[in-house]
Amino acid sequence: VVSASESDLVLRARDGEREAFGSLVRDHQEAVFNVCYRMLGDRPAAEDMAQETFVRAFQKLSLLDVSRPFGPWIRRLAVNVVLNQLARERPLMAPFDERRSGGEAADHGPPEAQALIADRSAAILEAIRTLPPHYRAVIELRHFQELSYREISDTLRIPLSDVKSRLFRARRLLMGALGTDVR
Amino acid sequence: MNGSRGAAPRLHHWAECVDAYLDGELSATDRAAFEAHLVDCSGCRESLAGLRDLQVHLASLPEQVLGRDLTGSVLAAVDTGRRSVGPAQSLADTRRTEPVTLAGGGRLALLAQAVAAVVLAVLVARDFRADPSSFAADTTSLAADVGRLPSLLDGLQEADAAAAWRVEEWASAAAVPVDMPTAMDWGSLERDLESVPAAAWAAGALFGVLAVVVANRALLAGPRRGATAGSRS
Repeated sequence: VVSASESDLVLRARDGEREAFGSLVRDHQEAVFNVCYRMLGDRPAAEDMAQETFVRAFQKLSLLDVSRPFGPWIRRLAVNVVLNQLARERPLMAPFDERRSGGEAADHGPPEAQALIADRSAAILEAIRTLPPHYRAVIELRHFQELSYREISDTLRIPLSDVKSRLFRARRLLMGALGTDVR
Repeated sequence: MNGSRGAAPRLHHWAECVDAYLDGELSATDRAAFEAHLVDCSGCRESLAGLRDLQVHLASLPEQVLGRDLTGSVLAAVDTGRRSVGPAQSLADTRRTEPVTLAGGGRLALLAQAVAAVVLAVLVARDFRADPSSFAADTTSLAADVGRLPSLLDGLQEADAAAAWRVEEWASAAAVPVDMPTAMDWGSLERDLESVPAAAWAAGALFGVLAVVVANRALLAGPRRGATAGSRS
């Protein structure tokens, strides 16, 4: 369900009203940043890609159905923006850098518990980052954005069979990397 | 995994069904068939447990705090995009490295060079495969020919030596300083060229072709659209 205010913001932004688009950025920047961060494991790069996502979103606003919520649309767009960037750069799989990732997670209780969560989070992010980009995308879309196979297929413009096989492979690789039993 | 025991006709790959089952992507019929299969198949039960563990792991990942407001830099980038590329064109598109575009004539020239390079490579490779020793001899002969060509120029220069001498005499009488060029030692160059191995000739030719291609791309490239914009504030 789309709130009247959000659809109004989208319509006004589509007409070129920059403040309306600014409001959309403020409302969704954390979510978009997190999508980019999970796929990149690097804060500065994730910030750049989040910004890039919004710039692209502004240019593509005319394609957005205002009866549908803005959030899922821009989070899917973020996945494609990051995927395109990774395809262009083909970065080396550098070891996950805790300095670029840690220290700014939301508060989750006492220091010991936070340290444990930070360790586990770093391991999960590192495991995701070792995946090929197209595997990271299906993990992001299925596990974090909770899209159906059909929706993932539409978002990435790949056949349904590819969604299934990529998800299958990505999960086995993740289980291997995280030490979960691989069966 | 326990493959076909208790399998419904439509479910041939139980391993893939584990994922689809977990994701709620099986039809009611397939879901019932798979649940019946799970009773007998410890492998699939373990797979399902492993996937559920993974699901829990991933769900435990905390949201990161962005820590700064991107609004200003996004709007600045949007404004820059409007000014440089217009509203209908994505600024992000301008960031993408545009493929180098060649004018029609440039494309033709590049294509001709590529064809010539391939033909030359085929001819050289054929000769080399036929008789590597004669190939080496040919390159030596080529070096000699290259050396002889400037020798002819040297001859011309010597033939005009008298005229040069007269110029020097005149310059001396007029007290005008003049620095006449001396003949180059082409013979030495010829000897040097003869000592170049065949592989070096081939490498040099390849480098030359590559240099031409690169120069073409640099000189005949179309203008890039817009400039990168939207640095972080």
